Amino acid sequence: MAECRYTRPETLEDAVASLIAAEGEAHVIAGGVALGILMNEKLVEPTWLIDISRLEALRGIEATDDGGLRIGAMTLHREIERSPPVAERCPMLSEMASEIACSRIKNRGTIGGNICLADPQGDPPAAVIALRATLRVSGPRGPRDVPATEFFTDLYTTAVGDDELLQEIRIPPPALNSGAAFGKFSARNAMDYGSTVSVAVRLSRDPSTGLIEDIGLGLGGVGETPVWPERTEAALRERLPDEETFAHMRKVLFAEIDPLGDDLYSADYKRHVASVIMKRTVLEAYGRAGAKSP
Amino acid sequence: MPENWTEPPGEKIALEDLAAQAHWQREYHRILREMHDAERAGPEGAVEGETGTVGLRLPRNDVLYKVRGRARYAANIKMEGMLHCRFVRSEHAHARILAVDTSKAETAPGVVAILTGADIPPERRMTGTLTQDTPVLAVEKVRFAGEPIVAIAAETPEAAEAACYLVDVTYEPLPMILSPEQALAPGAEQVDAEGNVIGDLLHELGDAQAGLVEADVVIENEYTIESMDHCFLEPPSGLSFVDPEGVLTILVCTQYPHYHHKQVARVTGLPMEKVRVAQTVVGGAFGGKMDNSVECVIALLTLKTGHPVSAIFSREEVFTATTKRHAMKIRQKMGATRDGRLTALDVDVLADGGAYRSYSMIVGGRCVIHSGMPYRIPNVRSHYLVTFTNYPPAGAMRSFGIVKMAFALESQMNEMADRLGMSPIEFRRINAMVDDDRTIIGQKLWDVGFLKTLDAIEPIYRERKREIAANPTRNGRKRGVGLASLGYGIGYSGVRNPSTARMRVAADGSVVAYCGTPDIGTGSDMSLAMIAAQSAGISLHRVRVISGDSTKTDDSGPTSASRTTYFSGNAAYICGQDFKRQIEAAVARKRDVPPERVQLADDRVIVGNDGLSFEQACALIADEIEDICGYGKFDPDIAMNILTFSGNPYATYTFGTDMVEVEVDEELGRVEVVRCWTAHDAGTLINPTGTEGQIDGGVVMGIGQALWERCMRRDGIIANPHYRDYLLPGVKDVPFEIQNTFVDNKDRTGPYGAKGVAEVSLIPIPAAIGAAVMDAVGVRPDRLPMDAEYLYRQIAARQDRRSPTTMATAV
Repeated sequence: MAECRYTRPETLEDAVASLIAAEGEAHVIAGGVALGILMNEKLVEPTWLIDISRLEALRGIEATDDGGLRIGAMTLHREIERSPPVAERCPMLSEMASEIACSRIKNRGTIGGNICLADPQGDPPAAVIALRATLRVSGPRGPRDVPATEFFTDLYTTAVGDDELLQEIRIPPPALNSGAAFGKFSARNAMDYGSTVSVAVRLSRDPSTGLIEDIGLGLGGVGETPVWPERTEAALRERLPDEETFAHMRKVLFAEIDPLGDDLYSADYKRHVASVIMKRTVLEAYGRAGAKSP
Repeated sequence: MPENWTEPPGEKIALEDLAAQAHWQREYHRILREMHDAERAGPEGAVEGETGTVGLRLPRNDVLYKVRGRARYAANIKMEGMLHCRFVRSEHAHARILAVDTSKAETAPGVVAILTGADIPPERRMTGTLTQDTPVLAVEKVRFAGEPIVAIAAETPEAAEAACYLVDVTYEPLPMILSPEQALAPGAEQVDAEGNVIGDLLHELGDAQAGLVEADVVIENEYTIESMDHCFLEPPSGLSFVDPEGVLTILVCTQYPHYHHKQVARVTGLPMEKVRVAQTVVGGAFGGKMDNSVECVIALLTLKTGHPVSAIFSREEVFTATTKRHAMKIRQKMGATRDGRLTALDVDVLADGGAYRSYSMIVGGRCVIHSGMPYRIPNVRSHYLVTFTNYPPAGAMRSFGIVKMAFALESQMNEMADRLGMSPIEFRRINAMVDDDRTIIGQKLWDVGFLKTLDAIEPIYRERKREIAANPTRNGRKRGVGLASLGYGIGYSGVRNPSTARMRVAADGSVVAYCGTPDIGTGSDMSLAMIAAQSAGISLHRVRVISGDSTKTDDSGPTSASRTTYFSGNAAYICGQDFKRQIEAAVARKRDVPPERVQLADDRVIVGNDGLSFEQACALIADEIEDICGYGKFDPDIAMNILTFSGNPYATYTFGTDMVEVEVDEELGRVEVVRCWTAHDAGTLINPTGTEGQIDGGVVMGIGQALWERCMRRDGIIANPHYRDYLLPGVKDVPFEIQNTFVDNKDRTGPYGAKGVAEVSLIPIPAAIGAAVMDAVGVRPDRLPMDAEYLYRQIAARQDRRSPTTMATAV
């Protein structure tokens, strides 16, 4: 194995300084869940590793005054799954975290690492897109906020610059009469990585008409990046979740997503799966939106 | 002798912390003694006689060291000066090798030796199970991607791996044969010098065509079954060294040490007595650890370097370079009369044998013999054609092909029952084999417990059908149940395959039983100890089984084909009787009484009115105790001509019926197996805990084959050589309930009435799942695996047929 430089900064500032010094040559390692596999398979052979596991400031969950959540990038999936504030303010996120891989990975992997990997199969990216989260990124020019819907720019590529680091995820408070749900398809019940499709939904419901008012959707496993299906959202807005709406949604969604066929499932089947899971997840979110006050 | 050799090998494989493993074995014997005493004191008591443990639930002798992490797998064993071997493997599925240039690798850091096929004299180059057709390292051409060409031994695994990349192999690609159809096409490229056909077997009982004409209902289907991997968690691994006495020793995870002993002797040119193959703890095998993997190469590298050499396959190598389950197409016609009598079965199997012969002919013979099993059908034609292709060799895997034959046969049995308006149990009962029925090749059966398995399943089937009729969906998913049956011959197909056992005793009363078939993780050492102890009339805790060492026991064949409990169990039984007689005779001589007045039973030697403990008896005969050697050989008259299919191919048969309950997501085609019930005629259970473990494992393996498992074969490569894309059932995919019944039946030829049971529960599972899917959503799967997209398309097509305007047209 080639020589590899290893840096373990203690503060966010030091981390950014290391990134600047590395001039794009470094790999940031958080939980190491993905990078570890890639290194074992020799698909990635880093020459400089910046280990951010000591950045305690990036870890933790906070209920914010506006009714939302602030989640540090280094927060473990397990911590999100078990966090009382998350369960109270955004149970869909707890649900999503509980569905991630397996215990070992949940105890090791971080939400920030997962989002920055931008794996098209990932679950957290779909969730933050649907939730209209804001991703705060730190760099030499100070922090800046990127909407989750604009964060995933290309295959395994995000809006985070070479000298920047994802610092935290801000989840806005739920609107009145809103509900959210997370749906996932995989071949087995056992942990699956390839060929999964995931759908995140947050919507609000007009209490008098029953129409879907505002809606956020995020999708995983149906393209080269985590997907924000903007037109499908529009197809559901101001409508009742009935068969007619879902038939329309299905058409729009089919045109909007471009999943890759693989050895297990064809692109057509993945489209079909996405539309079925989306329908079910929307109905679940809709039910929740009616079932309780925010 | 290597100068760095430090420690002589001892009883089993006495290396470093094998001592720790032995410690846990001893600890186990202490616990066993306590449990045994508790069992004897308990209300249930032993089955036969005070010392009898047959039928008791006893923890296996390997559990303590395994759960405590002290099992020494081959990959855990390290020796001083040990080198690490890695392979250069073919990138082409079919190509001539024009040149192999190892010059750059020779000078790479850490490299000690490089072995090519050309280094091995031509007459010693080949290995193989039935036919010596597989080069240890390819020389003239490669026949599958992943075939080994060069082996490199280096100081570290990393150095060996790096050096592999420095070897230049020049290929001239040849046209690839990727299916049996291609192999049989006129003018096809020849994979083997003798042509593309490995075997073409045909047998007919009666007149199948006439039988079909006579039938009121005839159904015809084609079933497609994909290739799969054994998925043993421990990859093939081994270590070779020359011991202080100059014996080339191979420690390896295997099902058959004696086979490797012969192969290694042949490939190295060493005399048999200069070779020893000792089995290490096996982490799963399922038929995939019977062919040569690392053995011959590490042996040659040890001879070349004088160093111990270790080789451990990567998971990718497991998928691409070890044997696979045959991909098959089965075309089958079944005929029956309106009152439910089968009149004919017409079977054509086209199997993909891969690049070399391995066990293809054994699989083929078994498939033909088992056609129509376990039903009485007057007219059966069975044709099995297996060809070479440029995929990894297809070989032995749990049930030797019968799981696929059963998928076709049992699926048609269920379809026919539906067509006749009968319950699947009633239809099976009408046609079930019973005592004195004959198999299609004429073997007369005895102690057939098949009907009893149907009886055991029937009330559960009725209850579940009623319950599901009342609640046809759960959580939006459609529910269904389905069942399927099996009949399976125990042991090698049609050739004698004797097992032997020997028992010796020390003056302190400790007994060693040497058994020829190795324990591959099934608990067979435990079962054999139980049989030997009970037969000899001594307490189980005295008996230690030594197996899996080619120099310590006779060649008793491999542990495969569900044969160890039955064959080696019988040998252990006979041996125990002989041992008992010898002890009795020796005591009689000492006490100067006629031998008939001495009896060894219940761990005591009774001499007239006097009783001795077994230890006292051993002390009494201490001066001649070395001469005592119990011997047992079980060698039933098994013989069959595979061309004419005449003779008796199996010593006994096991029967069973499995039933599953599924929930199907109709919109997505996704299936979940939620419950399973099995009923087996396994004869007497030697250790019921072990038997149930085998059944549960077979059920889960069957679920994997039914729903997910397949080697994705594309353009001559295995496209999913890792567990990310090769989907195995995980613990969340296992039914929350697997309920096992064993019907009351004893085999008059088995040890204490036992039959073999290792492979059988797997056999009906895919067909049972297919039937349950049919029950739930109305489609009959004809493909394995029946993955979600396949079933979704079947379901959508059915709905289209029903009402052309509904969903599914969007895709």
